[in-house]
Amino acid sequence: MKNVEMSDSHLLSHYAKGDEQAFSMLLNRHKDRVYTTIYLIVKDSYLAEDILQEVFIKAITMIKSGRYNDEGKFLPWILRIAHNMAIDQFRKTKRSPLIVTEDGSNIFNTLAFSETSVEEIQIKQDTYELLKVHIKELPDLQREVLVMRHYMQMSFQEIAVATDVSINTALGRMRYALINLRKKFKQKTNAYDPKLYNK
Amino acid sequence: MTPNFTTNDALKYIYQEASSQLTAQIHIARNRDDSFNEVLLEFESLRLKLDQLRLTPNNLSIEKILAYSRKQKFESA
Repeated sequence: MKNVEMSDSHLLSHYAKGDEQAFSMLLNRHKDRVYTTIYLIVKDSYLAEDILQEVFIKAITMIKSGRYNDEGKFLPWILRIAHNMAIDQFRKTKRSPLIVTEDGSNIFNTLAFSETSVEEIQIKQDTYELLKVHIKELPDLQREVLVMRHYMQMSFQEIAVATDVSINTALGRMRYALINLRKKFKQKTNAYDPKLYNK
Repeated sequence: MTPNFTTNDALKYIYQEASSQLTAQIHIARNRDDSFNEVLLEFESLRLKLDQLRLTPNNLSIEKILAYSRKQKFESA
């Protein structure tokens, strides 16, 4: 049974017949996206790992108890569970966003890349590490819209409904998130701009 | 010439949620205005980076999830 050939629905159908390998394929197919969604909300890798497990445990329980009706929307469903759990946890433990480097949790967070040269990987890794830090620094509402749009596959209309705001407010939050990220990247570049130190 | 779209419209365009009419308007605007085009390119590049960002959880978490699944039995209908 090849992962690439089988849709989520097919894998779930096999899983329902007791095929644990099918579930393993489904899990490995979506784990990064689900984990990224959780992590960018809670901003803590250890907490994100715990929540990831809770999300899939809840999903397994619902599937195995017959309470999950597959309508070809497994990913949006599991992302919704992940988002809700992450938001609940974040609200409980609300902390001020600080600029942090990963203190010993790099062993838990790795960035997934396709096959490429060592140098290219390093450059990409630096960029994405920076991006990760900058996202964590965003105000909560901007970060929420960003996560919903980029990692939960929601349209701006869906985001507006989910967050109970107008579509223009949702768009505005996204716009400011991008403006802030762009500004932070420019600041980082300017810090090392040799032209600034000509005189 | 004053553009007849808003910054939120431009954002919809960047995220490919704009109507075909709006898309056409912005195409024209970016072809006429280099600085506007540059800004759009920057935001499009950022959007792409955001789309590509993927963090990977620890293998231990995955193993725990799989172990849980193996222990749980399906309830018969």
